[in-house]
Amino acid sequence: MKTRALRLAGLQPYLFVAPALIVIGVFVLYPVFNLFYLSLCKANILGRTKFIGLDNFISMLTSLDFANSLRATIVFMVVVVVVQTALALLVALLVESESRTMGVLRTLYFIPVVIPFVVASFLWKFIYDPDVGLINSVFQALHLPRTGFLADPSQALGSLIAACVWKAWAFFTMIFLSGLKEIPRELYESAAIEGARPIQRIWFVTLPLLRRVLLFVIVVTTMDSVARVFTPVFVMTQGGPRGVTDLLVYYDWRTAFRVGDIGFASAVAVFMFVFVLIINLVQLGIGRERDA
Amino acid sequence: MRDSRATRGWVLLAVLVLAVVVPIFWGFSLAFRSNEEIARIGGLSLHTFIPVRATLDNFTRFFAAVNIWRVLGVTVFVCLSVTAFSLLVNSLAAYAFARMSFRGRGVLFAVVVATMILPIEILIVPLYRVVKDVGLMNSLASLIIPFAASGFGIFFMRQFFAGIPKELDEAALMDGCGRTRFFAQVLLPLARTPLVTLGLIVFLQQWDSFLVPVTFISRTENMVLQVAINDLYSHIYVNDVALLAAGMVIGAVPVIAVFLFTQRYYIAGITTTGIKG
Repeated sequence: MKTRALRLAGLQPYLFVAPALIVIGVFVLYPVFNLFYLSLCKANILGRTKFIGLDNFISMLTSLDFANSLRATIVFMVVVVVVQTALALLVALLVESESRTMGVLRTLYFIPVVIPFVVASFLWKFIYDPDVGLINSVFQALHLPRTGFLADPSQALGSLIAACVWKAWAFFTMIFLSGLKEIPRELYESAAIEGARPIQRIWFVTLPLLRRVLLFVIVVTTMDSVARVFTPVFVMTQGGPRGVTDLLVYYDWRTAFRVGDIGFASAVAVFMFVFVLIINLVQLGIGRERDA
Repeated sequence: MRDSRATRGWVLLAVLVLAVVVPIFWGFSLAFRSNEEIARIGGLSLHTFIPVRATLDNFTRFFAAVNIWRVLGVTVFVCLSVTAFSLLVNSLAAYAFARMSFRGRGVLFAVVVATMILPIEILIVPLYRVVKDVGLMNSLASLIIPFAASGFGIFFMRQFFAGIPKELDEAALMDGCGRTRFFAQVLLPLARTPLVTLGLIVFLQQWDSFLVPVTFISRTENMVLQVAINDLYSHIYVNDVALLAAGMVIGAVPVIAVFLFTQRYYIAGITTTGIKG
């Protein structure tokens, strides 16, 4: 009787973790392995698969559509990381001292972050609308020419970027603000005594102490700008016009679910997977180095 | 000096609020005007933002076009189910990882944490195949079961459970209180704040969810709100800006309301974890 109870007690931790591990195993880990397998197969949406080795990767690397998508993704990523991080950091530094007023307005400021991405995407689709859009109304009042924005191949990617930055920057401002709160007041006071000007104070005191947070923000933004952009592309542009906003996640999705080429889509996803992995390893690497 | 800085702060905040509030206000105002009126907007005036003749007609039309009670019912059901499951399933696992010793704990926890870096967007193709193979395609279960546990949820709850003194377990177990009872009656009540934070994050994430439902659900009766809004657009109502604006308001107002009442938990959650909805 007693040994049985003991044996059961030994099993108990496994019973506690079992539901979570089953879900994660079936719906995360198995798909990861399956993704790599599928990328080596000729596979259609109905489930027939045939092993073909590296063919998908070879056709991916020679595909003009993939090259176009990769280029758009890199432009999107670099611009979003630079602009959004700079903006969020700038705002955090400027409002830090006015934290009381910030408290009042924080709620309003944060609304873009909490509204659904589908809603934000439609909102910006209308704001950019050539006929009834808000920006074109402003342009008209200023006697500027009507502008296509999302409909114009030379402006669509930039317009998409602006909408995405608008949606996310308050989030990162908040991250920076919580990082700024950790910096001891005394450091600023001694910097002031040494006669440091505000700019010097930011450059020599704030930024070095904020490096960890900055690294975190850059890594998260990099990941988000590559992976978490399906909804805005789907709703606002469907990859167009002329493929200029055909970012990798959308390209991957439409290859799988519109074209039906699961194998090729999986090769694209593996490419993104490796990219995400590298970004995270770089973060770990830099983080370690700093700790040492 | 002090004055000029305060002024600068206010000016900056005003600019920020304008950048954030004006687009939203304008977009939502579209929901309260007719398409004819929207078509006449041009240039800048008070009526760029305020309806000439306010109407609720778009909402009536939206409710009829998407079978609103069905859509809201499905959406709330999915969001609440995922939230409830993930609170329970993740806390159970987090408790074991934080406070029990068993073989393989370190490896299993490392694997769980590693899954946090994987965006769903990258796994959507093989996930689609799994959901299809287990026969869940087009069902609400396909939106719930795969999200009943997450690396983030387990990690988040484990951080909290690990901070509670070990003596508490020992005292309770000594008194003959079983692990399960201890978990349910002592630990969970203690964990109210992190549970509310995690619940909020999961709920808002699910409300926002689009890629998964748009990929897994093609049957109209199982569509969630975000997909239903997009579905209207992609089918017959492409140029009906007023109708879609009404959809936008319905899609956003519930989360804005939840956020207003719970922002303390929500902002605490994101600033400690860096995970957004």
